[in-house]
Amino acid sequence: MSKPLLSIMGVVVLGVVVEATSPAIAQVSRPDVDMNAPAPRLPNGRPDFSGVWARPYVPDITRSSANANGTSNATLTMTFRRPDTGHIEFGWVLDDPKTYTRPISNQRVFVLTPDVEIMEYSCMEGNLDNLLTGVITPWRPPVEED
Amino acid sequence: MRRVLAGLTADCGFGVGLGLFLLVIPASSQVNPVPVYPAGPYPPAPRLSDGTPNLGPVEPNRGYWSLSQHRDYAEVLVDPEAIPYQPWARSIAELRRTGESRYDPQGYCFPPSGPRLMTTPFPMEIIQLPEQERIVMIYEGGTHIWRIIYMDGRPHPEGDALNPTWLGHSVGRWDGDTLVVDIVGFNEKTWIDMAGDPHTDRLHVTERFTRTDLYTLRYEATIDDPGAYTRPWTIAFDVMWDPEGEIQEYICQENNIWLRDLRDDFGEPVFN
Repeated sequence: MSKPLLSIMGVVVLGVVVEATSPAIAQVSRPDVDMNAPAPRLPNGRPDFSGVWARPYVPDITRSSANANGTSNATLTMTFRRPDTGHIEFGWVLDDPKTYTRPISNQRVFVLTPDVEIMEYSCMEGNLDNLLTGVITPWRPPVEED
Repeated sequence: MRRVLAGLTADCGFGVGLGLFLLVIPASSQVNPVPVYPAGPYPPAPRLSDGTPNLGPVEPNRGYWSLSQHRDYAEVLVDPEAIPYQPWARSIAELRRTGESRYDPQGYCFPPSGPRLMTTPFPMEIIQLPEQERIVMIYEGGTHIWRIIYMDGRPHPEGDALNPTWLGHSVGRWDGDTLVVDIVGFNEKTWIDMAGDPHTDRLHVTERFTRTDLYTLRYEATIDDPGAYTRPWTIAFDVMWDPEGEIQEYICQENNIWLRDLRDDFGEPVFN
């Protein structure tokens, strides 16, 4: 199964982030939005990150993220900055001295997709066929001997 | 431990091996712990600054709605007196009730739909975004899912644009102090309730959320599916607010041992 070229992330206020993946965003036509206009702010003056954001799919980053599962000593710091209406600068730093000799980090830019609505996504929907055919087998705990 | 119990009974573990477990939990039990409430009458329902009923926390980031399990909607039916099945739907519902939910899609970590989201006994939160003209509901259980209710007056998509999905397409409006949510566009992969009541893609659900006081959310859902039922039918129940709760993460697929031990009607393992 091919991976989506882009993924979509929706951000709502109150710190809640919801996410879905879909290749449909490739067909997006952007309405008349000034992507370089100043970033909006909430009534309390804090930055408003609301919107639907497209994230480029970068295989190397995905792989490094997957490898970054690390230990329970890991500290992950994520930063979001909206320099203008159309973009979010996202970065993360993983500090896990038990796994890595120094912190590792990555930065990327999310692009606003103002005319896109997030769709639902059920990870298990595609997996079940593989489970049924044995391509994926449920984990079984080791048999305990008396 | 609370979430473990809830998961076993609602999301991924109510199968054959847990039949005994189900016997000791009443069908409409409160799986989540019930907080201690002050003596009544309870304080009035809060409101947002614009006067709209506040269906969420009074203090930021504190509290959630503690959903209860209602396994069989016949138990919370308010109209009519019995679920008005069409013959084929009755046959399927009766068959599923004999199968100890072994084929319930939610047990395989598929999303619940419609009212089932509100009867999966995990916490949920309602986030109102008036400036964005939408309401987001997030559910800790039921595959840790969220739904968006558009409040901007848009209609449902029509024709091929209405892509059948697990949760359907939701639009909402305020009827006085009641949030009314209209949902269409369901796929046919879910059960309406844990007992096994079926539905078709003609399902149309109308939900009504009314916060009657600080601690109580009255939930009502009318199920109109001319493909499976002879007339619309309505369920209703109260959901209680836990002022100290915070939603936690929940991964349905994690340690879903129910799948490992699942056997079909002939006693054979469902999975290799």
